[in-house]
Amino acid sequence: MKWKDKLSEMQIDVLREVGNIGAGNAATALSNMIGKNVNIEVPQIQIVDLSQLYQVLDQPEEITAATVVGIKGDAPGKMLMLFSAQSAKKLISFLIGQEPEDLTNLDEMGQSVLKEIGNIMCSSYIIALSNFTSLFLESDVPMLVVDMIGAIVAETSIQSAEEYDDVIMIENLLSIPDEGDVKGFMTMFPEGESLSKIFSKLGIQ
Amino acid sequence: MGNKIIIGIGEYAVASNPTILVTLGLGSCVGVCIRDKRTRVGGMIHVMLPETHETTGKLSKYAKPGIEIMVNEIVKKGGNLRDLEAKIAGGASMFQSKGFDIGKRNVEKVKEVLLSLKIPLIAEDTGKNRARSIEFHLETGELFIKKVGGKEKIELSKI
Repeated sequence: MKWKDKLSEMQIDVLREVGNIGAGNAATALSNMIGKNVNIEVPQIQIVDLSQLYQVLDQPEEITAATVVGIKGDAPGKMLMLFSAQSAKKLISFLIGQEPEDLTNLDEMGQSVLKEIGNIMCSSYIIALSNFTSLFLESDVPMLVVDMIGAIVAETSIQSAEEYDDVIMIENLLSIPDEGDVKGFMTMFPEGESLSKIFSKLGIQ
Repeated sequence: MGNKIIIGIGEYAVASNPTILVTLGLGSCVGVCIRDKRTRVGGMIHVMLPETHETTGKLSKYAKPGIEIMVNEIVKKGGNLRDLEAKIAGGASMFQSKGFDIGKRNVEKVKEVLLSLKIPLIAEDTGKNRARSIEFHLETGELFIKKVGGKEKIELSKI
């Protein structure tokens, strides 16, 4: 089964709005945490064949820090918050005043700071989505992983796509203008039945 | 060095020597590499899930029947069932999941299918929690594995 053949233009627009609202809230949450302005770009909806997933990433082997938060409730899915190694280290330093040396070997403190940043952002997104759709949604326990970006994205998406041969990603780019090179990337992976629930709640068939 | 073929998630490729078969970002997925040690015809499959009972759709996502389909093609392209050897990598558990370890189940299923086809498994790098990218050289049968190591570096090993 493929999403590509199932989604209408209108439905894709709705997903873009979902991304806008969700990431807007996540950006505000990040901004409050670090006391700096955070910008978001217009979300992109990508429907990608699983077999092509690596082609949509510039450098699939880039080392990246990711927080994964499962979405539980009426419309299950997954949220992924990704920061490049450099960005993740900068963020940690904003909060605890010290930049870790080695992201692949973070101490307890570094790990929990990074996990919490991702958690707060993903949860803000999920709350916004829940308010927007009046669906009951809650966040699962966050997980932190530092690994190659291709594997992280693949691993998260295949968990929500057993019966589909492609995945939907609602992608948002975030940046901190005062700190030029700090950029984050967040994406939501809705699971099969969840999308039809979101659409029907919003009155779109 | 021959050409490189990049294999996507849930896909496979069969080729003759000299070819390098590559797949990236194996998390809980398993890369199964099978090669005829004499004719050097071989293949690689990027297995996502253990098993399906469907008969249509993308069957190469599954260890069973994906591996069987690939082995048939290797034989068609000049491989000899008796001379096939397998190496596998992947099946990590990247997220600290509770109870449900898909990587481990994938590895177990892959081994079961290899055993049923009587293809010896001569080397493996499986489990743990790091993702892997792999390169399989049909010329030599060497399997190169890239993993994130300490100091934010990618480590290269060979099995």
